[in-house]
Amino acid sequence: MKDRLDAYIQGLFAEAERRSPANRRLAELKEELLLNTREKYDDLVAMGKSPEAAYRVAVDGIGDISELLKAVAGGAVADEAAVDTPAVDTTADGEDADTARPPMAQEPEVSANGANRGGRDGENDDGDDENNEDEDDENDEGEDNENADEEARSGRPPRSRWYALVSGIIWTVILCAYFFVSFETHAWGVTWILFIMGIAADNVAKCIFDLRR
Amino acid sequence: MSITADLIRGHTDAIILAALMQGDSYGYRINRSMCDLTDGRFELKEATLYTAFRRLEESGYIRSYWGDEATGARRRYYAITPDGRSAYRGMVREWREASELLEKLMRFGSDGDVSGAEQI
Repeated sequence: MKDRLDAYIQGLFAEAERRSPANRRLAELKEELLLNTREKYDDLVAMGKSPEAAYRVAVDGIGDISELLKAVAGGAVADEAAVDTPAVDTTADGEDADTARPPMAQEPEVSANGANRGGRDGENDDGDDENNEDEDDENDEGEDNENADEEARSGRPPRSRWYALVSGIIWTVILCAYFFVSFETHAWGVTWILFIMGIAADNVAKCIFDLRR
Repeated sequence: MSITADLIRGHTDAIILAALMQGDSYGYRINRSMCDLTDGRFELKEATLYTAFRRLEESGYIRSYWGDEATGARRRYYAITPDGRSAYRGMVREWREASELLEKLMRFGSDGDVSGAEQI
């Protein structure tokens, strides 16, 4: 049964690995998920669950990792990975076939009130609400994914909003100071130095935010 | 059920940071401790857990490292950073304030009897 569990997780990562081979972060995530899911399966069996039931609970507990794969591997991997069927035997019985599918997009990410370890009770009670929850989830994580994409493209963390705010303030002040000093002193040949000072101040702010990051 | 899940979902980061305040740990152990603590009523999906780990690590609130295989199975451990401790305390403050406000607002419609709110 553990082989079946491994095969299920391998299947979840197959498309992402094909699209992004030799991705260390992806390999580490898979190893982490494999180890933790195996341990969960072992615990469930030790608690008296049958191998089949333990497998079902362990697989149900994984949830929809498509967004996570997208963030880790980058690109449009997750959309296809989410609908691919992992290389896993789903023919044991009707219910198994149902639970052995990769998690659907509508599946809730958080289970409460005994939805997980005790089985699948209550997970599908509030279909409409859960759909809304998932939409919210996608919205919540959309910004993270945009940041991750930017990071992947540039190879460095995205600039923070705070830096953008500070930079905006610096340049507004510099521009106002330039016109004010220039009109007051009529020293137009010298006051352009304020822009050099602006560049320096902007770079200092940028360094500070980078160091904080 | 859905309201409970929504409420909890909004505090995933705080819950994970709270678990790491007890010491370094790894994904399954954290989830297991949550499950034990709530008598099996709450457990995060792995997808939610690892997404939160990644988000918290990028924020500098936690750091991860691979455990020594000599001490058992190779595990990816997570540790809370000083920034994470500070963020956790802030989240706890916010939660206390929010729960106090909610408590008052909920009682407002039920004349001091929270259970009465369900009859509205």
